[in-house]
Amino acid sequence: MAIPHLDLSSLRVLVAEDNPHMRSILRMLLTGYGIRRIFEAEDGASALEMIGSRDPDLLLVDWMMPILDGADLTRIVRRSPEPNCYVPIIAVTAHTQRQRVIAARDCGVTEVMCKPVSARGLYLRIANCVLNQRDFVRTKGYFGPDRRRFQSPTFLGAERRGVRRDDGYTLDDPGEVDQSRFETNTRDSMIS
Amino acid sequence: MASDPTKSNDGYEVVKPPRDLRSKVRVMSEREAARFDPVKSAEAALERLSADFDSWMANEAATLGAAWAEIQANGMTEENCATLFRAAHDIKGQASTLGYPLVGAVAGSLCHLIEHVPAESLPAKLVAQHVDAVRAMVAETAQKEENPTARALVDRLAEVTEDFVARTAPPADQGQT
Repeated sequence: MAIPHLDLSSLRVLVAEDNPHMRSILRMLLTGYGIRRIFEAEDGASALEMIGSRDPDLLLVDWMMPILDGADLTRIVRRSPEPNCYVPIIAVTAHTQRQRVIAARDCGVTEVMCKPVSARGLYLRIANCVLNQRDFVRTKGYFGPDRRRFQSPTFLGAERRGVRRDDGYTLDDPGEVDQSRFETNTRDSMIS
Repeated sequence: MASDPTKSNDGYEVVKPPRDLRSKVRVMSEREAARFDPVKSAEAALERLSADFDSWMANEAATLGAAWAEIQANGMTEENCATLFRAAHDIKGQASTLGYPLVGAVAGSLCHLIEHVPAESLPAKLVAQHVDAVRAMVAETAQKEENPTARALVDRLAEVTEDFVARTAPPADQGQT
């Protein structure tokens, strides 16, 4: 699959990661993609403050941080006022078990990036967040990006998640980046 | 800015995010794309950073060693066990990126052990073997997957750990691999 080459230089990205080495790696990758405005938070609490002051377009959140971990941070962000509650969140985690990934998604993350982080894997997820921006769903027990990556024509109701677990979600690949959707939907709004 | 629900029935609501991120990016022209590949550029940036990776890995191994030394000196507590797990978890997540995939496998095995065995039942000898293996492999830079001694050590530690978890962990935890 050809990966679209995107000019991401206008994106504002906040990295919440307590490990300084991992923070450096993420910053270097983001810089490599051409992103210029990168903000760093050493823990979830600092990240929360910076979401308010830096107005990021995207969050990269380490799932295991002291004090306020990635799950807590995601829940708080999703409960925060507009427009911050809609910010795409990429969870970066060394937990690779499927049920952990599903739990992260059920907290309201947009994408999950299992470590080890690769330049291609992270880029695909960022591209997905930007090009295939998902609608948000509010149910009694959930507010976050629509978790249904695949339509289920046979399901009727509000809480498909409580009924059916096998929804085609894959751990290692966030799905193809649908460039045609970008091209047909954004001609008017693209920065030229 | 308010967002209009696009659908509201059956107890759920679909909302379109107010900020369209597509307006902040653009697909490069063919000419631009020929000059700049974001993924290759990021890989090159990481490569430039790699001169520091050995010392970073040594730091991470030292952090793990210090966490274990604290437990040996003062006994296992919930707090110092969490510190040990966090150190192992950091290594598990970073080691491959830093060029030490086998060290990451050892750290992953240690995480598996700590996650699935109650703290009071953690086998000190097996934990120590994991910590020593990480430190030795980093010190000897025996990180490559083709290193037969390191590979055998990793496989054996994983095998013993899996066996211990199967015998010790509560039944509900055993399937969580």
